[in-house]
Amino acid sequence: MNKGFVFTMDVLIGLSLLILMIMTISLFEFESILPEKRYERLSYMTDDIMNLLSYLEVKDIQDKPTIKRLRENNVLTDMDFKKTVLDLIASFWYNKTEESQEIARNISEEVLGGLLGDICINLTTDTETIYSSCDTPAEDVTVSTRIESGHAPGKPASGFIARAFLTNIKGKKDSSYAYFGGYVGNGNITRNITLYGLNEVLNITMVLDAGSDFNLYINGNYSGSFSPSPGNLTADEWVINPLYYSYLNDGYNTITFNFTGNESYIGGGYFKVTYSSSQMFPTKTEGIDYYYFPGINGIINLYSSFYVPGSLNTLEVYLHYKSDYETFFSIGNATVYEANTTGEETVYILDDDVKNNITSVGLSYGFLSNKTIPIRMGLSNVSYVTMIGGNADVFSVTDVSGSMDDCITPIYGVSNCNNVPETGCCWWWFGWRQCDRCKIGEAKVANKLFVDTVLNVSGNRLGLVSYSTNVRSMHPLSSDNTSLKNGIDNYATGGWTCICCGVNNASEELNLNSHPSKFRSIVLMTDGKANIMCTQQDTGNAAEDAVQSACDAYNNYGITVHTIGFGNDINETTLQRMADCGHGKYYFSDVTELSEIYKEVAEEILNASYVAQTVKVEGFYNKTILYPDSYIKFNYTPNIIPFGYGEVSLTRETNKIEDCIGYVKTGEYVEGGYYISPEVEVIDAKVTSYSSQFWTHKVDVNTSSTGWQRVFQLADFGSDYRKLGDPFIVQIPVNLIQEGENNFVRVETGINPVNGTGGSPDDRVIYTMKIKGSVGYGSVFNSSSSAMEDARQRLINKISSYVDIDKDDIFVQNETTRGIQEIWGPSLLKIIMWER
Amino acid sequence: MSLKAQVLSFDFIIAASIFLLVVGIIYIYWVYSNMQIEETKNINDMTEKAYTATQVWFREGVPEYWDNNTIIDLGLENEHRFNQTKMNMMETDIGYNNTKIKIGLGGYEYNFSIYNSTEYLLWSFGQSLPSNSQNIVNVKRIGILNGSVVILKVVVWK
Repeated sequence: MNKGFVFTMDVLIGLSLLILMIMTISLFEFESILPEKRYERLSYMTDDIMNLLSYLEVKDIQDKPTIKRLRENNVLTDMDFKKTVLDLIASFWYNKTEESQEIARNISEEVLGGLLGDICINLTTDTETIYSSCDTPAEDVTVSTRIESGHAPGKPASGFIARAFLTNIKGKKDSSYAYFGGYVGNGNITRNITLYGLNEVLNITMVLDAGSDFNLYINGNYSGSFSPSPGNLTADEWVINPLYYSYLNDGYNTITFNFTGNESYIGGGYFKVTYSSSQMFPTKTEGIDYYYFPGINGIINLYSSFYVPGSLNTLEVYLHYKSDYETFFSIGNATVYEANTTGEETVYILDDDVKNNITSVGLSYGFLSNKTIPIRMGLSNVSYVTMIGGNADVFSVTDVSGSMDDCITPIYGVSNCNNVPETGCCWWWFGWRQCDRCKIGEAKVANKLFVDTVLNVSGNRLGLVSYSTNVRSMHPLSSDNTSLKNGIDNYATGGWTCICCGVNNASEELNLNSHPSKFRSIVLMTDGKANIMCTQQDTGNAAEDAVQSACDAYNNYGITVHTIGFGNDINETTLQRMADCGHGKYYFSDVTELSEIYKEVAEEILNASYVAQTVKVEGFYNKTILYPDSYIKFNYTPNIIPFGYGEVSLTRETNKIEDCIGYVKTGEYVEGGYYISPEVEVIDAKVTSYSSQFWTHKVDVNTSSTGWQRVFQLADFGSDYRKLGDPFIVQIPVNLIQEGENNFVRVETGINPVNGTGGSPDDRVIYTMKIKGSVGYGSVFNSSSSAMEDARQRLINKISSYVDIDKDDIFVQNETTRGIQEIWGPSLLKIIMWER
Repeated sequence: MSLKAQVLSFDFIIAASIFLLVVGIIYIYWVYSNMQIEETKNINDMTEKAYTATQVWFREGVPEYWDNNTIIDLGLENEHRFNQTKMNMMETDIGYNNTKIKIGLGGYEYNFSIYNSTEYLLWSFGQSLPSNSQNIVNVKRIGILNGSVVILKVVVWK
C-alpha cells in the first residue's frame, strides 16, 4: 500500500514538473520583427507624414470640403493656394480665433484622417494639439518636427509688407576740411579743399594755431584778417564772415594764408566748410588716394603726415617746388628725396625708389599700412637756424609793500617780521619770539623756484621788478641764475602798493631789451590793493591804472600779463581784469601755496614759449616755393567696404576735448571721451592735435571691448624727432571705435620719446559715418499702399535728422509687398505617431 | 528484496522517462528557437532592404533628370513628388532586374504598388507575390503623386 502511494506520488510530481516546464516554454514567444525595427518603421512613416504636409500644396487638396468652402467664401486667395498645407494649417491655427483653429483642425483631419488606420497621428505646436486621429494612449511614439517661419501666436499671417531705399537726397549738412600741419611754414600757405555737390555754404570756420597775424584769401579773394593769440598747444577759432561764402565753388577751392606778422606758420589746424550738399557720398577711385602737399611760399618747412587706410601696395611721390638750396623729403625716418637744385623743379619719385629708401631704414610697406605716417620736407645746409628750446622773456613783478612783511600767522601779538623774514623769527620788545613764515619770505622762495623753472629751458630769459610805492629794484633780463637769486634776496619791504608802477617798468624793459618774436610775459604778484596811481595811465584811480597798465602792455607790446593774488587782502576783480586785458591768467594763492602757483605759471609760460619746429632766417635768402599740386599717391587694398546703394556719408566732429566727458589734462597728455550713436557706422576717424612746437608722439584710444590701444607712436619711426614729421591728424582705426558707447582718446605731445609735454585742450575727433538709407520690412498692412507708405515714413524718421529728403527720393520695393513669410516665428510644428 | 528492486526499477524507469522527455522538449525548443531567430534575422534584413528600396522614391537620382543612358543613381522624385515619367521609365527602360540591382534588393523579389487614399490601386511594378513565397515583408510609405496623397506599398520576399 505504501509502495503504491510512493509510486503514485513520484509519477504525479514528475508529470507536474513536465507540465510546468511545457507551460513555461509555451509562454516564450518569438517576435518575427524586432522592436527597434517596428520603431524604425513608425519613424519612417512619421517623416513621410511631415513631408507630406510640408510639400503638399493647398491646390492639391482643393477638393477637400473645408478648402472648397474657404475658397467659395473667398477666405483663401490664389496666393494661399500656393502655400503648403502645413503653412495653411499653421496660418489658421496661429490666428488664435476659435473659428480659425477649427478650420486648422478640419483641414488636418481631411488630409490625415483615415490615411493610416492602425497608426495614431497627432499634429501639434510646441504646446498645443492641432489635430489627433485617435485618443488611445501612446506608448512608444515617434516624432518629426518642422520649423515654420511666418507664424507666431496672435500675429496675422497674411497682409502686405514693404521695404524702402533711399535713391537721392535733397540735401545734407556736410563738412569738408583742409588740414594744416603738424607744422606748415614758413611763409604764405596755400591749401586746396574739395566740396562735394555744393548747394549752399552754411558756415566756414578755422581752428588754427597760427604763428602771427594773417589775411585769408578764398580762391584769390580777400576774406578777412585775423590775429592769433600767443601761446603753444592752443588754437584760435574764427568764424568767417558770411559775405565771403560766395567765393567758394563746387569742387576744388584754394585757400591762401598771407602772413603779415613775423611768424608765418600754422602749427596745426584746419579750415572747415559746412555746406548743404545733394551728393550722397563722395565719389573717388577705390584703392587709390592722394596726400596733397600744402603750398608754401617762403622757406619750405613742413612737418605733417598721411594715412593709408588699408594694405599699402605702391607709393609714388610728385614734388613740384622751387628752391636754390638743398631740399629733402622724408617719409618716416627715410629720406626718399634729397637734391641740390636751382629754380623750379618737378620730381617724380617712383614706387621702386620709395620702397628702396624705406627698406634701407628698416621700414616696409606692411609696417606703413593702416598707419599714420609722418612726413617731413625742408631745406638742409642753408643759413637758417632750427631752434629747439625756450623762446620766453619773462619779468617777475613782486609786491614788496609793507604788508608783505606780515607774519603769515601772527602769534603772541607778533604781526610782522621786521624785514628778517628768512629766519622765521621776529623781533618783539621782549626779545626774539617765534613767528611762522612771513609773506616776503614766501615770495622770495617762490620767485627763486620760478627762476629755476624758467631758466631750466635754454633760451629763456628772466627779469625782476620789485615794487611798493614805486619801483624798488629791477634786475634786467638775464639767464644768470645766481645773479637773479641775489636780486631776489635783496628784496626789502616797506611802503604802499603801486601795481601799475611794477607793470609799467617791466613792460618798458621788455620793449627795450626783448625782440617781439620772443614770447614776452609779465607775472605780477601782490598781496594787497593798488593804492598808488601812475601818471602814465592817468585814470585817476590806482586800481584802474593797474588794469590799464596790463592792457597797455599787451596792446602796445604784445606782452602777456599773468596776475597772482597772494592772501586775502587783495582785490580779485582788479587782478582778474588785469589778466583778462593782458591775455593772461589770474591765479589766487593762499599764504601757503605761493611756490606751487609760481611753478604752475612757469610751466604755463614754458609750454607757451617752447620752440622746436620753426625756423629763423639769418641774413638774406632766396625764397623757396612748394606748389600745392605736389602729392603722394598711394595704391592700397582698402579695409572699408565702399559706399553702397542708398548709403549716405556725413562728417561730424566732437566737442573740443576739454569739453568732452571724462576730460583729463596732465603735464603729459590730454584725454576725453565722445559718444558714437549706435545707428551709424563710422568709416573714418581722426583726432586732431595742436602740437605747436612739439611733436604729437602718442595717441591711444579706449573702448569697453578693446581697452586702451596705442594707435600712433612717433618713436616707431625714430627717436630724433627733429628728423621726423609731425602729424596734426592721427587716424583712429575704425575697428577701435565702438558705436553705441563712449569712446575715449588720449593725445600726448613731446620733444623726445621719453617725456610728454602735454596735449592741447582744443584737440577733437573728426569722424565720417556711413548711414544706411534703407529700412527693412515693417508691420503687416491690409493693402500694399499702406505698407509702402509705412516704409517711406520709417525711412524718413530714420535719416531725417541727418539728411533732407523728399518722399520722391525714396524707392519702395513693390515686388516685395507680398504675403508675409519671413517676419514672424519661426514656430515649431510636430507630427507625433504611435501604434494603436 | 525482489519487491524493493522492482520498485527501484520502476522509479528509475519513470524518472529516466521524464528526464528524456524534458531533454527532448528542450531540444525541440532549441531547434525551434533557432529557426525563429533565423527567420527574424531574415525578415529584419529584408525590412532593412525594403526601406532602402523605398528611399528610391524619395530622392531625385543622379542626374536629376536621368534617362536610361545617363542614369547613375536611380531616384523617382522631383520637387518632393513622385515623378510619373520616371516611374514609367523605370518600368519600361530599366526593367525589373536592373531596378533590383539599383535599389539594392539582390536576392529578393519585390513589387511596388501605389494606392490612393481609398486603397485603390493606381500603379504597380514588379512581380506578383507567389503563393509559396516565404518571409514576406510589407513596407508602407506616404507620398505625393500627381498632386494627390498616395500610399506606396513595397512587398519584398524571397
